[in-house]
Amino acid sequence: MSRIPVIIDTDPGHDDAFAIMMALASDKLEVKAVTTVCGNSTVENTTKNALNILSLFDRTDIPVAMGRGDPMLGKLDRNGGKRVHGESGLEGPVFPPLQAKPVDMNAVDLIAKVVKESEQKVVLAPLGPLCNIAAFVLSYPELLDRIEMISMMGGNTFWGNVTPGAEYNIYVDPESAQVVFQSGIPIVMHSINSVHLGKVSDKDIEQWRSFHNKAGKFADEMMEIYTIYPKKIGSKFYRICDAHAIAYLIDPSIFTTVLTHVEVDLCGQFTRGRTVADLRDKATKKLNGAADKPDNCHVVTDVDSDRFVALLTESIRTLG
Amino acid sequence: MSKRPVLFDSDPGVDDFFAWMLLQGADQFELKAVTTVPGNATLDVVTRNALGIARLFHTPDSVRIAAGSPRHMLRPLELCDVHGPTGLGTLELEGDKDRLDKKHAWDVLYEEAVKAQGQLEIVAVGPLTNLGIAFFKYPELPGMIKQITVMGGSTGIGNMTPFGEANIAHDPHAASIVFSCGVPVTMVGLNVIAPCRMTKEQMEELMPDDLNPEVRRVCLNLAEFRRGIPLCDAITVASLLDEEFAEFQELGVDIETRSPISEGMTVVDMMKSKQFFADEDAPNKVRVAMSTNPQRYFALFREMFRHYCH
Repeated sequence: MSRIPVIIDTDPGHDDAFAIMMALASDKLEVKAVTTVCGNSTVENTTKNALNILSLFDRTDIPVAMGRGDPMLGKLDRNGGKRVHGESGLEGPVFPPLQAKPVDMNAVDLIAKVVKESEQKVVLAPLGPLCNIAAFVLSYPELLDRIEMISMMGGNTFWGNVTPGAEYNIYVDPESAQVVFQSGIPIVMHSINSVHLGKVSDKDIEQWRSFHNKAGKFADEMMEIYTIYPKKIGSKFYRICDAHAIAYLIDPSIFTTVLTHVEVDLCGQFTRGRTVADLRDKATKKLNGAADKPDNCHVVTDVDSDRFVALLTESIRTLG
Repeated sequence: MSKRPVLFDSDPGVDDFFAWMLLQGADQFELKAVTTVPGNATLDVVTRNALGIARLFHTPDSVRIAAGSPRHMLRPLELCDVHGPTGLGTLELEGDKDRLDKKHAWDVLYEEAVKAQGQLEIVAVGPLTNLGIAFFKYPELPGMIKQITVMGGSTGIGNMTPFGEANIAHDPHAASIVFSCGVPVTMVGLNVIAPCRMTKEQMEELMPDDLNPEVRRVCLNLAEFRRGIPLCDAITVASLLDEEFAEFQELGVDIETRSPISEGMTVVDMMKSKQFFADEDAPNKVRVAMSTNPQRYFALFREMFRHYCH
């Protein structure tokens, strides 16, 4: 069976790094390109981090293109990402001097190139703010039906993280997210609430360390930093958010989804950047006149945590 | 010990009926006034229902019954469709029209707050319009109220909109005033009602043989109309009567008023986002109900019916 061609759009990011490792380790996926975006840090930093990760695992054959450094409207506020991921966006691991460079190409054009050259429809896996993906949707309308699906990490169906009402990736660029949700491309949304169900514990980190391989050491170094924020808010478990978007492509049966209407809140005083997913039962929707809105998103509502963590652990073991 | 003075603001309403019944039957409370607000039906209809319920329950004459605002603060009046043509299914309860207080709800609220000398508690189980108007008209009022218990909002899914619960979403501006006025607020929302289903048959089992026959007939009629759907307003009063019935968390809650798709949402700061990302301690901490205990709820109903055996 041929591998699924996937483009990872990312802002590494500790959890992005885990997602990339998972994709590289899988024999079901073929990573065709990595495009970078602002989010967890500046796009300059996230690009450097992406190149470092691919170099670490000797996969500089995968082209990396630097994408947008600011959201569609306004400027990136660096505050949120820094608090979780540190100054560089990937504090913790120390890399050797970087040799690899991004390709001399607009990230949106690299996405289009891969899509045009691929025989199979391509899957997009956005792990950060949706700036690049929205730019692609708007600038290559003729290629949208060449996209098999989008498996994205972002949004919130209940509580948010960066504000009580919104999740970080969408909050950074709600307008781009709206473009993507209106694109007609099938979307699977791994919200902050669904990724919260995938629980990594100290015991799992211990196991990763015990592999005594590159991936295990890298994972361990990252978790030194990535566990600070969850510990601060009193959590015993850690969430590798972005890895859910990749895990879905490898084994969708880990996830339970509901197909419904999702739109992004652009106006709220407290809810700007919220992905409003209509999860009410059919009768309540009908009673309140919402039954006619199009179902545009498969919202993840449940995750088999044990199987998700097992897949993550297996990826770290086999990647080497 | 003296009884806790309480004002009941309500839009009766099937579940309002049982909420009132619980509150009036509770030994630790003294019902001072019932004020009405449109929501489950128009102001005229819910006020007529209130007068009818007062007659059925033999609510003492000392309890003032006052009509509130015919409209919401800013949003156009919308009604909740699930309470039938009379707001009480198909029941028409006769009441004494002369009993209606000549004053508006917010003025009655203010007067009762003055009389209670800082001890008045409010239970609000409809849209918060009357309370919003009261706090808007009387800026000193928040300092005179002990606490407010609200049926409304949700930490999760809504009903009127994807995340908007009807009582808050009908009048989000009033809700915003109430939630940020400084009075301690307890929120009992849609997220805790599901465990407390009670069918007509289950209710009947809780009734003593000597329950007033008319009360019995009306209760069972309403329970049949409701078909086991949880009585949100009664669940809210239950949380006040039995401290172990519900579990709470102190959380920041903001009411969204500006977004067309999230208007009326109770935005609950579950992850301490404000503290961590904005270095800001949420000022309006609300006691948010997180779970309820159906066994204790049934016990409260059994106890309640014993107060209506006259």
